[in-house]
Amino acid sequence: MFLQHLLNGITIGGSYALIALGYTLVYGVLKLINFAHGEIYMIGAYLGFILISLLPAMPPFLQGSLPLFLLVVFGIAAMICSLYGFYLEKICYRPLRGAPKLTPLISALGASIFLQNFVMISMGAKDRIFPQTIGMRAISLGGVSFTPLQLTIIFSSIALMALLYWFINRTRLGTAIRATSTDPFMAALVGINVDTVISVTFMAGSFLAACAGVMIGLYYGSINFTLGYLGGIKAFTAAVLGGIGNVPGAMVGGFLLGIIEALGAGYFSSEYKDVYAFFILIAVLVFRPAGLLGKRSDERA
Amino acid sequence: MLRLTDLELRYGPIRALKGVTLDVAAGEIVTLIGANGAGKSSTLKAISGIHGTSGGSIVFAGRRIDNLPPHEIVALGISHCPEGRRIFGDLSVRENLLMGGYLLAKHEMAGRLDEVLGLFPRLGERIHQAGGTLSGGEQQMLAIARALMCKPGLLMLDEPSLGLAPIMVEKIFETIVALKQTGLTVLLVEQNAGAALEISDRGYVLEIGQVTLSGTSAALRDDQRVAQAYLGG
Amino acid sequence: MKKLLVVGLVGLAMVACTKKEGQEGAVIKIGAAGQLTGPEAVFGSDMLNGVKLAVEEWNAKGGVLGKKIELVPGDDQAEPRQAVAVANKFVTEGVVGVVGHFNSSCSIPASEVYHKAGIPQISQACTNPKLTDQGFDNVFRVCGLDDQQGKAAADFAVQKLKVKRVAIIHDKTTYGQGFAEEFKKNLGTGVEVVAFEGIAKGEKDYSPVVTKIKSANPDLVFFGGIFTEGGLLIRQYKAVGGTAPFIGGDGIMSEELLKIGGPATEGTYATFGPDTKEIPSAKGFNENYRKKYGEPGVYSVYAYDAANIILQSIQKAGAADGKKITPEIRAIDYNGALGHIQFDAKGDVKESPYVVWKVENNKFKQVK
Repeated sequence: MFLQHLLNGITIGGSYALIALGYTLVYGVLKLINFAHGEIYMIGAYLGFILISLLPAMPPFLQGSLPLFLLVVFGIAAMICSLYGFYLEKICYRPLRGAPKLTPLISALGASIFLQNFVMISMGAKDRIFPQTIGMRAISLGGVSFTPLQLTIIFSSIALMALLYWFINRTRLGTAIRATSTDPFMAALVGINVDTVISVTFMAGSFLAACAGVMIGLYYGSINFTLGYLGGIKAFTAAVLGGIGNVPGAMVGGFLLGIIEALGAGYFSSEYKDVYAFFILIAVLVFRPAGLLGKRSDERA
Repeated sequence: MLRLTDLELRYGPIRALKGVTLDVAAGEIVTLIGANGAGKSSTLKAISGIHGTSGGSIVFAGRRIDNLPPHEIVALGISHCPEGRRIFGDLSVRENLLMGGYLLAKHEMAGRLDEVLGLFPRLGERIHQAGGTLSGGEQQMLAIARALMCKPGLLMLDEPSLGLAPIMVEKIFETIVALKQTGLTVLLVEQNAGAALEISDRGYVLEIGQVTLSGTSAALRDDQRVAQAYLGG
Repeated sequence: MKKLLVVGLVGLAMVACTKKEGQEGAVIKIGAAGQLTGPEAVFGSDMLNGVKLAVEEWNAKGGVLGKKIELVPGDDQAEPRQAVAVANKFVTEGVVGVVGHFNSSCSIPASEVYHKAGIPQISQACTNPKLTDQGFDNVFRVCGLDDQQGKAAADFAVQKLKVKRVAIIHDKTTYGQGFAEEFKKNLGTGVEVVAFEGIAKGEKDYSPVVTKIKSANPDLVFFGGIFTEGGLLIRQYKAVGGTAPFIGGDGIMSEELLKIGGPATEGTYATFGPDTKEIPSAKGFNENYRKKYGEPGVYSVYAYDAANIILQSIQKAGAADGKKITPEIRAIDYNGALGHIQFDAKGDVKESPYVVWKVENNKFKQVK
């Protein structure tokens, strides 16, 4: 049973990690918590719903190959959410660049409320149910049951994280994001267009969150416009757990949170599932505020 | 090459620069000296676009550049190595240099990297170390090397000797002179007025946001007022 | 002179606006309360449409006591606090009879408000025994009770399915937990309860619970709760390799269960009243409902009959006064779509059989 819980935890943890990365990247470059990020994830789920519902209307080569179709769905949802992220930054945060820290925070909350209600009004307040197209047949291996869907989700999460890691560490633009996170003024002085870097950061985070949204929609089978609220808080917790601003930290934090939740709910009480996450968060903040992988705050000149 | 005319700059209600006029000709080393708070760093920040101006003009190579965004000014050929070195601590030496060359075309990067490392072999030895782990002197070298990566026409250095041991300071200044031989123009802000005037061609003295004295470095060194206020004698 | 006229007209207008409607006004107001929005909204709208149909039929014949009937909907969002707010709203607006609420957790707190105001309440779906145990004379229900339902489910499990190991899940609501406890009580000694778990409503991820249940290896899984959670539980249980069938109650009797749970719901059982599509008395109702609102939900006919009982009682009482209407309801001998309805001293229906239904070929069918 332990392995089963572990597997469940890793599946959910992967999506927490993907969303957490968005929080951590934006915090890195702007020192701001993008409270509307959870809504981007929710919009990704709804986009997934719309696209998957269109499967019967798709050209035959897509209908025949489910992996290919999923790839297309991920791609389209991710690209549209990247645009959401881009405009979110441009409209709600950029004009407030010089303002005291509280102002963009309020703007973020406002954006979050706006997006939630926008989706509620346009897509309805009822739960939307995903068409059951993806393999939910349970396969048993060594006492553990899993579905092809779960494997797809785990695999996709890891692949996306690897992609992000490569982008951040091996490309010029990604390194520029890291430089901007360290010192935005100096970054500007070496010729980096900081506005562009910030936009790209938002887009990358939204890209990942959208993929997580599609995955979770498929996994749970039903979505609701309030998805972003709890998902956002948990992912934010994961980011803080790993060390806010730290990219590997967000990945570790996400998986860890998913596993702790699954084990806690499985062995102790499933009624308090959500509580374990917050309990861990409080413990981390009290004993190691920088998070598990976060830096201690003494920096050299 | 660079001409500032009646430049004004404010920090909120405080006027840091109250009409600064100076110029830098190609191939020169010009130094700005003055007490703390005189406005030396603010002048550099205005030129590189880090801070906006509220009056006057900055002309570089025939173009007005005041109030352009910093990355555009870098693209025009001005590289600012700010006070405190500001190395990207989490990035490796190599990555710091790559960022210095952010605006270079892809095919130019490798070549330029080699050139710059040739000037600073110590950095080559530590190429993969995190920037934050270098000593003060090495960080200063890295900061200058990084500023050079984009092949600037004008290099601005803000207090490069700050916090360094005398041997390091000597090395740094030797390097600056060597750079001048390659045709680089340098605008140097320094508290260590003596060393600065040794290596520079001309100088300006800033006091409370205005230029009070100017001339060749030799003349300034001999000037009584300069000697008293800044040269300790 | 002109000023006096203006003041006088304004005064008249104000008096006209504040005149309390419903009791001395031109309409008689009936309230219909349930979860009109939210995840369970389908139950609420089924109920509302049932009441609407009744009201429209009466209004077509001239209303009641010569006045038009106005239907006042109340949305409690399946939330107890909202339910009390709705009840208070009904009282202020002068409603004389209420069909509602749906969830036991809502009907029971609301009933206190109705009791204080003397307004009769007939619930179409509240199955928890506590509703009528309170001893309020104005509270009735046309559906069955959970002790009956729990027994029916337990009897089916033991006698028909002959199971030996049962896992029980509930959603911690008044209804869900109550129903689960009744089921457990009636299982008898030959059956082992291998798990008894509460889940949180609104949650999407039940993998920890279903994993636990699966490893307890039950022959049957009982769920006390609504289709929103039920569908997810069944789906996720099958996804971790669970094979036992589920059994639930009226809360999962909805097409939505099949949509949410997908093909995994095949073979799921549920207890409910007998199929109204088979009862001759419901034929007229079914046809009329279909014409106006499409396929009736399982509770539409209950709401319809409840509304009719209230309206008939108002007619008999001869006044739109809750205190006069209540005794008429109590004494009524009603024949409606559900058949024959009479209330006992507590306000429950005298005869209320429960049968078992099963999901076959993606539809609920009554098990013979």
